[in-house]
Amino acid sequence: MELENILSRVQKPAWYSGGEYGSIVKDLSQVGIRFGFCFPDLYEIGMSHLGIKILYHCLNTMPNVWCERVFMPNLDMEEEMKKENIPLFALESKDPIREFDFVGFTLQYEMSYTNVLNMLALAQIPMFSKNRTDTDPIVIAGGPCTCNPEPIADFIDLFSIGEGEEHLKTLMNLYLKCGKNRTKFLQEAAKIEGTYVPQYPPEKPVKMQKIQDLDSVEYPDRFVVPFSQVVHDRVMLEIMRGCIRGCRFCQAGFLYRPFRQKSPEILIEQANKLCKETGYDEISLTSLSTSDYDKLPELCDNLLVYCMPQHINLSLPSLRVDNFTKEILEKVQATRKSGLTFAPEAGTQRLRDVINKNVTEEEIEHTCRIAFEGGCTSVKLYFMIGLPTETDEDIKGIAETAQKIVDLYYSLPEKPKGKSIQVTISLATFVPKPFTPFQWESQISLEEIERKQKYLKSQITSKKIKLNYHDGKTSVIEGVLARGDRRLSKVLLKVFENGGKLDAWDEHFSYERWIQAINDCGLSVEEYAGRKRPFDEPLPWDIIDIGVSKEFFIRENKKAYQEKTTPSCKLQCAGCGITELCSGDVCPGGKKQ
Amino acid sequence: MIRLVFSKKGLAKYISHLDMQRTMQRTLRRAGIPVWYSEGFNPHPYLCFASPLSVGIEGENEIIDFRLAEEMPFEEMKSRFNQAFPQGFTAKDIYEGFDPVKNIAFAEYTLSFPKDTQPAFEKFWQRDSIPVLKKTKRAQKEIDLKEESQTVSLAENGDFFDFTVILPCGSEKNINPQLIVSALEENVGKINSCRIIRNRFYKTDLSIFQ
Repeated sequence: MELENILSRVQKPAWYSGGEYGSIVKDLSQVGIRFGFCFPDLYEIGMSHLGIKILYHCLNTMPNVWCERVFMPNLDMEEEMKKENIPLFALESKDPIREFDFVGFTLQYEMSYTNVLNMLALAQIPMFSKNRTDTDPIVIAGGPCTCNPEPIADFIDLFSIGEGEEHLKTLMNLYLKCGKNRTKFLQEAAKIEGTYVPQYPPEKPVKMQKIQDLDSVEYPDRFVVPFSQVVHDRVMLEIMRGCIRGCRFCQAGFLYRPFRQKSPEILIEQANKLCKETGYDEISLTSLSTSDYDKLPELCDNLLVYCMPQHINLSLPSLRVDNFTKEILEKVQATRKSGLTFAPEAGTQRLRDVINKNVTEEEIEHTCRIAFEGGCTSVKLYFMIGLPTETDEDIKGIAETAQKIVDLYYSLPEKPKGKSIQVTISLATFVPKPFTPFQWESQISLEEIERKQKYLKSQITSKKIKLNYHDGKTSVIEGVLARGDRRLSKVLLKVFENGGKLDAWDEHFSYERWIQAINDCGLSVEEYAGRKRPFDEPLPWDIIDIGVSKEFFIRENKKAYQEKTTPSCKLQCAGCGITELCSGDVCPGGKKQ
Repeated sequence: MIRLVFSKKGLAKYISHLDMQRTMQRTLRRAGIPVWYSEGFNPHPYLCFASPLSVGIEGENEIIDFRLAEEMPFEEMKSRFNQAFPQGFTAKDIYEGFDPVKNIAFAEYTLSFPKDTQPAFEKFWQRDSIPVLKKTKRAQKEIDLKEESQTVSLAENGDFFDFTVILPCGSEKNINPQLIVSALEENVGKINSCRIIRNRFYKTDLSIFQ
């Protein structure tokens, strides 16, 4: 009843009331393990995330496990919960998660770390791992950020490193085998591959878990369908994992190796099932680089046979410009017209070679020409500033690339009649990440970020070009956390205690609060993000083995400075070492039989 | 056109009118109802909701009208709806040949207050006039709740007492029953847990809308 009273007073009650179609409610008498799957951000963000849907499904296919969803409440809800002393609860049962066996966080971006602390506090679970006892839930974490678990390791009992579909199930069974005893479970779990228990430091690096065969691994046959609008509100169809490209700035490109594809037959079956089960009218193909999917035309054709008569829209994000064909464009537009998005990432060919983004200006032009002739009038371009070896020439190149697209549009006789072109530049700041060839690089300072942003702005003269960029302050802090070590747990705690939360939201983020906390702990931005690290310096994330070797990263780093590119895995194996861990279908020697 | 009568109870009362559009479209798809799609650039099913229900109010006999692209027996449709509806929704009736939505003039609500507030409520409701400020998008207007409402009944119901009242509910004039609760709260202080259900609609002559 208290919950009902506060729901009537908050902005978005539907974020907290549960009951969505597809949410899973189990009979408690049949359940041995209760699992609170926490996404450390607001409902509208968390409900857009595919990983939580996959693992929610996997855990709930275990008859004795009940996995429920937990999100970070917005500030108004948090205030009401505190006033009525309602601890953080799971959406399905509304039971406090502090009574659960497991509380699991997915760490998707560094700026959500303070939300983890806030959610633990709201749940009334002891903040530090060392202070938890048998009566407290076991707090675990997974997701891409756990490739460097150290900054948050003091707050987490156990990290599940890598792809969780199988690993989480192993952990659940082990927990039952250990008689649900916390100490015994953590001791035993530390011995299992893919598990990092900070309390028991591993003797050799923890091996990241990979799914060998995506066709046979479980994929949800239903999604929880939210009532309120969320960011990605559609059927998400994961068509492959990994990327063959090896862009040197891209952490995901290395973390998710090797390249593994699902077969079109399986995907079509899953798409049909999910559309029927959810009632969604849009399917989005998700992957790191959709156009690298071998059988994309076949997949699109077969999906459209089903989609068209049912008024289902098909969208293909993450298309690369280089192998973009007219045929594919026509298929995307077959159901509904949408704008084009490309990510050249750097403004000159020289710098694109440095970062190994193997895209040429001719290819960008070629693709845009096809798109314009097909009726497209808006292009979005993703670029970065602060890349290694970058000069003002490269930044000027961003404006020039955009201008060329505008000029191209007006030069075409077959452009859409009477319509103007809109080119949007979305500018991000490069943040060096662990497990990339740039993991040793220095990150540009806040002053330099702001100078480069201003410089680019001054180089844009056309009204058809719109420039969007974020405040550089968040990137600075992200840079500190990404390559941080255990000492940052004190900083996190301080920021949290000083009111820091929802730091991924500009309106809640306070740079001053972070800098104050970093200084108070005797640390500096320079030490974590600013300085260039030597190759032989031990790195906080050396305790994790993602399967790609350090030697490969060093090789790639040196090639970057020589402005030499590395061909895609499909053309030639670069010897990254991933075949030792798992063989994907394009790794030489690891080809699927 | 056919009409679906459904209830929206429990936590489903927190689903806003905007979210209802989305929810209904997805329910229709899951249920496999052969609903008619509009033509044109962005085809979508045409759904006509009788009257938006405020967030926090439950509905006993809510109404949606839509067109079918092909026939389907009403009984089958009803059971399909009930399988495809999210928690808190029940399809109650489906029929053709009905009053047009524009003929809705009033709605009947039952407000359930905790029993200990009954004496205070009775005293409050005996007044000749209860002026309140009704806020609209543009301005606020003073209205007299006593003048606008018609009491149906006042009955005990376990730990609660049920106050059933008819209020204007149409495009011309619409009065939210939550105004009664806030006016009462101004007099007797905060009331915890007042449940409000919209029971049914009436036409201008107070005959039942169907």
